[in-house]
Amino acid sequence: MHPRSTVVLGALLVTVTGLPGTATPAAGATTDARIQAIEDPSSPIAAAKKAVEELGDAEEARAVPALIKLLYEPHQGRTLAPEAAFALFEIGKPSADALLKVVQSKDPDLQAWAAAHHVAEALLWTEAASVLADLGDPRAQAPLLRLLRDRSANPQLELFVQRRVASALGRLHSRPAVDRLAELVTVDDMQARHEVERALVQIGGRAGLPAVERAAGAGSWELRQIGLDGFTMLGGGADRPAFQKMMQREADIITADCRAHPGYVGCHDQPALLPKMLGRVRGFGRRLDAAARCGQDVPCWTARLQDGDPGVRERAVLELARRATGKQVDPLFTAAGDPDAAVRLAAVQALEWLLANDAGARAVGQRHIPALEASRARGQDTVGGARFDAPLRRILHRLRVPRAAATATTGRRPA
Amino acid sequence: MWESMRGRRASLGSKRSIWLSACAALAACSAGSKNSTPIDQRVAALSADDSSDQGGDDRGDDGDGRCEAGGAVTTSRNDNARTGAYLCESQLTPANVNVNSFGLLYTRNLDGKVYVQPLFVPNVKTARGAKHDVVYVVTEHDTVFAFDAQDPAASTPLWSRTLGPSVPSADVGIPGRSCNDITPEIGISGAPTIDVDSGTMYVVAKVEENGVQNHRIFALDIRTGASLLPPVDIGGTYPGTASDSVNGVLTFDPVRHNIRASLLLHDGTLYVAATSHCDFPPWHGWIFAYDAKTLRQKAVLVTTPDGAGGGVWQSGGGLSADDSGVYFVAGNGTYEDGTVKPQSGFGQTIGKLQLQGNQLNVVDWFIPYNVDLQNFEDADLASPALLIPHTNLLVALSRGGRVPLKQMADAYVLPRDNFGHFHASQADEVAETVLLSDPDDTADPTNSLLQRAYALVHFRTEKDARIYSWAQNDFPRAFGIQGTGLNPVPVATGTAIAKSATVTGMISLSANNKKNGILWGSINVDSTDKNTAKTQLFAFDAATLQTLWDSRQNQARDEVGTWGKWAYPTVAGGKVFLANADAQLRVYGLLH
Repeated sequence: MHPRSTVVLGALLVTVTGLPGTATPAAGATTDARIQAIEDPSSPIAAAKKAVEELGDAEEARAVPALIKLLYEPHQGRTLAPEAAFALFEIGKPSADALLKVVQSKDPDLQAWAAAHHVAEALLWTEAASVLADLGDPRAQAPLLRLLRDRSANPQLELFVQRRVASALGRLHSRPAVDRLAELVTVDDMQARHEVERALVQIGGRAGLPAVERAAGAGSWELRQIGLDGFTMLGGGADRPAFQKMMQREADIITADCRAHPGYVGCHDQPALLPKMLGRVRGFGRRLDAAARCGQDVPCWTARLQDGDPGVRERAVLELARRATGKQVDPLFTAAGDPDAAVRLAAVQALEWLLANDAGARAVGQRHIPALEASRARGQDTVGGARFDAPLRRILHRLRVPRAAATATTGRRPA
Repeated sequence: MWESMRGRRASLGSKRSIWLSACAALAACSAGSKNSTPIDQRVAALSADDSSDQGGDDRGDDGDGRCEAGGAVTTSRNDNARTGAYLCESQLTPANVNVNSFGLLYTRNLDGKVYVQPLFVPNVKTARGAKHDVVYVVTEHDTVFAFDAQDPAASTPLWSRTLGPSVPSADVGIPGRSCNDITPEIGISGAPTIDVDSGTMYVVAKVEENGVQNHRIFALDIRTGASLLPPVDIGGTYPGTASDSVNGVLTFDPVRHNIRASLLLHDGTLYVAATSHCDFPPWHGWIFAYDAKTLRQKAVLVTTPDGAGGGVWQSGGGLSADDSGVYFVAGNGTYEDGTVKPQSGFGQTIGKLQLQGNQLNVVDWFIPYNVDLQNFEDADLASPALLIPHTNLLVALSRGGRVPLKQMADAYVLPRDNFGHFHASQADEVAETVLLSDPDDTADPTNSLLQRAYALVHFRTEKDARIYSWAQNDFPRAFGIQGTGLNPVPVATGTAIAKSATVTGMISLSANNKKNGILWGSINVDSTDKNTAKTQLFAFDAATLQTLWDSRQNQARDEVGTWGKWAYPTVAGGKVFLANADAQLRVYGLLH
């Protein structure tokens, strides 16, 4: 289904099911009490948490300002930011409208509150950006891109904003951001380079490839490795010779290092050292082999979801996120249970994007609701489960509450 | 002084005293008995020698704000609770520590950089029969120095011993990567620990002989430096499926691993913990338990047997211990994720161990709700767990750092009998979290995101009990211990900012029981490069945190020298001992 149809369908469903926040007087009193529970610093943390969850479930638009503050300010020394982020997601468009003002620095009340509570403005932007990405709201792209271009007198803050905003733009599959992301992907900060590279990979296309190739040759080994990873997630079969050159360059660096520092670990046996050190990244080349074989063929990439190499499976997920529609989305639900955490993460992020933009995908997803719920239940209070809990909750919400897709008003799939 | 302490120790019924009594009654473990060890023989011999009776192996602040252990500093951070407090200081007071009456007394030349806190034992009878207050300092050149602590003219060490050829730093490097953490050589990087009952110093030296590296445990006579037991090379295996395992077994790699945590001597067992050099993969957190009398290995634990990382760093401190167990804090790495067998991953974990038979078992653990973010942002759990005396609480630090701290509190306060494991929501965690670093943005209104506290100190005054910290780009601060946690509003804040781009704020405290508290802290200055930065030492009134003295007030006289990471000041016997990276031990005290 065309994304614009999603808007229409979403609007219809909102009409049928009632507008969020249309409450009876009694419900209004309950809402006030719930807002009070999260605004009153003396209210118990459990009560505040429950109130946040109930306000989200009730899609209570009046709670948006208080929930936004919870993204930044702990309650009794504990953060309720993840709970508040999900409640804002459930509330949908009213949240998005408010958060857009935050990332544009057009919410003077919040800015004054932040100044009084020692909350850095950079933090205002980044946490709002993250929830806008949860919401899949394409209106966020322009203001977030402006933030990505912003320079700060404080380099640490600038890197922090770049990391978080790049991640949000990647999750929004923001094509207009590619040029700026490409400029940033050679940054020397490892976490920032990683986030920028992941954003380019999620957005897809070859526009970012030359920059990622440069990143594969710039900086320390940890930094270059990020570039090598990105190159093989974006490149095609024709890029295999370039990848071989990169591998040779890495081998030359190791050889030169061993010549300069014979005491380095493993240098006494270079023939054994090279395959040991480069074995894993050489394996990245299998993704390019898969790209050579599949090109833009969705069934071929679907078959790659069964590949023994997690990197190939992750690449397949990314390709399907860019190309699959309707029933073709079905295997991604299975990939959301992949044993490899990176593949699972790519799959749940792909599903979030697809469900926000493709009613056909939402229809296909209905039958996966029990399995997704079971997956959430299995992961309760385990670290691995927690990592995927928020996106799984959002996926389930989009499947159960079709109007949730309406926040993605003009989403476009990259070609 | 020793006579009175012996009486008090007997009344306290320390485990060591009970053991000695049993030995005496049964005459079964006296010197020369067929089952006795050299350490047994030392204890038996020294038990009749009043010069050696200087406390048990769980010495230090007993939490009641009283001087314990006869004024000895036998382990890093002063005691096994890692309080960082020396409560036997009768000479240095807020009244006399000032630029007119306090300053550099003398300097001792060493043979390498120092990365650890010096130790101190009073009244040690040396081989020649004389008694000395002795300060012990170890270097990355693998040398242990023992100096007379009181005589400024005694520049020649009472003894020194080089424990082997140190490892050139390049020999732990790997091609394509570089590491300048400890340069130019790696030797003794973790503080030793001393059992004064047996007069034994336990120390681990990293050595390289004929191209082969090892971490070697020595048990040295504190009087002479002679070995009391044959040295033992650390080694071990552990079941696991990590990338460096072979057929389901991990083998300790002495090249990859770095024993930076201070040693822990607890209940007759010596604990040694390892981490990485510069996170060069593959590495794990390894914890070894050895019988202190024989150096026979009792047990081994790997924090991440099926994954990677989980190094036990401890920020210059060591594992902590109380009667119910041993506490470790593991840095970033893999952790239990519900898809692997239980207890398979304790990266980024505060854990509690018990030695049960020949196994070290993790009996409780805490992983923060935002562990993924902490791992990604390299916000290691890295400091030792400070066991808050007279409470059931411990406090440990996260390197908050790279995200605005409202989102990543830097101190966790946990009840020692229930860590709560992992919860996806912080609202459900047992741990209380407190922001110790610049909680009100007064030190750094621009919010530089580099505010990390690395060290904590506990002090119980007559009025209250406090935890002190001095984070990067922050003032020194004191927080009150209140109920089941810390009051997040500081009870005292100083005015000196630890402006730094690297590890800083090495704090220790001296007091005379509950009085005359002075917080001592060293920070790096003049350069953002930790290898060229200089050191500035401060003394603060522990009550108010107002500056009493600092080494730049009379720089020509009191300059410390090049910054030594993790070289905490040790205060004892009226002196402040601070090592630097210029291969020197600076000794400060009253000038007149």
